Amino acid sequence: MPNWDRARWDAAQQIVKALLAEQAASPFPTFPDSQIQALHRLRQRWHYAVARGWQVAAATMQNTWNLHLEWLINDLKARRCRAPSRAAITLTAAQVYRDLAGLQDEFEFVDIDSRARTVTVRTDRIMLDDVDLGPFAIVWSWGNPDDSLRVIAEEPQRPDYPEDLTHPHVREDELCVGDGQAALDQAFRSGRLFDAFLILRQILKTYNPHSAYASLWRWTGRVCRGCAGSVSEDESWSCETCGEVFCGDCSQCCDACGDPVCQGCSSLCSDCETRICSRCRAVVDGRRLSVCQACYETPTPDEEADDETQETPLRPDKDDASFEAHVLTDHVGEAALPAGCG
Amino acid sequence: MRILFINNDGGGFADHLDLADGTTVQQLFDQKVKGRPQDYLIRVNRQPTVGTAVLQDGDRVTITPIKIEGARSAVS
Repeated sequence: MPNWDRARWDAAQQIVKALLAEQAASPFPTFPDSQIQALHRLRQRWHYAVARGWQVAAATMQNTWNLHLEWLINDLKARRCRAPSRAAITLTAAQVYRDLAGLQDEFEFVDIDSRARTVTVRTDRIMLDDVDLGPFAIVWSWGNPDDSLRVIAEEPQRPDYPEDLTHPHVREDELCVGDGQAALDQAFRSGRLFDAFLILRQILKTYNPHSAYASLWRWTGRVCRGCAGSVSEDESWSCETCGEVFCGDCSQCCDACGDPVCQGCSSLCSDCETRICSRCRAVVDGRRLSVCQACYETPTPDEEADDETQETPLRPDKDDASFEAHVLTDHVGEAALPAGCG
Repeated sequence: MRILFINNDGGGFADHLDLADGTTVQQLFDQKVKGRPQDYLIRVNRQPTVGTAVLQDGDRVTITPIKIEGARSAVS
């Protein structure tokens, strides 16, 4: 055997012994009673909602029930893999030894610690949709079936929320393997460590947006406040009034000053119907009007006619009723901006 | 010749197969996998390989999807 490694051989022997003991100790998987009870509870809630005519609640219960059923099916499949079956591969120390050697070719860093009873590999940097999550250490412990796998971010990149995530599918060093569950269980059970670590790495390299703890945009840190979609830094706009971030579709531009503003911080001038930010609305006596400065300063045809006969005071002295119709109640007391806004 | 074929897609199928002498990796893939080879990591005896490689008696062929979707765990 070329480059025979004594320490690796010892570890392979230990691993085989532990896996055989594990199989002998629990030849049959347990049944997922709690998940089945959860389905019963959801069905009862659905009946309750239907009986009271709560259609939205009933629909939500039904969707949740379907989701839980899907989880149960996946879990049962995984448990079936743990059940005794005809094994195509005989679990031998030689096979495990070759798998451990194969890992050295597949991963840049592999550590086999017989004292700690762990095999650790380090992945390349995990990039998901241009988000760099850094490298991960995959640590598998033999002889510890209840807590055998940990996936640890070497350079943790955490979203703003939830903060205990290091990857859309990793929470508190635990990887939710999803579609890889059955193949992974089968691989570990058979002692095919090479396959198991490959499967784990490929899960880390795959983003499943439909069933992630958190969407990837939480790592980019930019979320459109208008539509809640992710938005890149280059394509995002910051509202000059409220400071929140918006995507191009949800941001507007003030026709008066040209600043980017969101819909909430802008309105249409009630005269010319151009979009103006709150700062570019005309201000009279500390009160903001619903018209832009330009429309405010432009006399109406009636006023022009009046001008020919008498000197008409500016709008603040207009009839109170018509004047109040142009006054908005928000931003009362804000200081008027310089005329440069127009 | 007899090889060990492991498909890590789905349930993790593993079994011995009897193949005609001269069977290539590509031919085996076409027989056993529905999909494109570029969507899988194909290893022969734990080493990367090419489609034209001719399989040998006793080879161990592993096919692993490049994309395996993780998921949120079930709340029990």
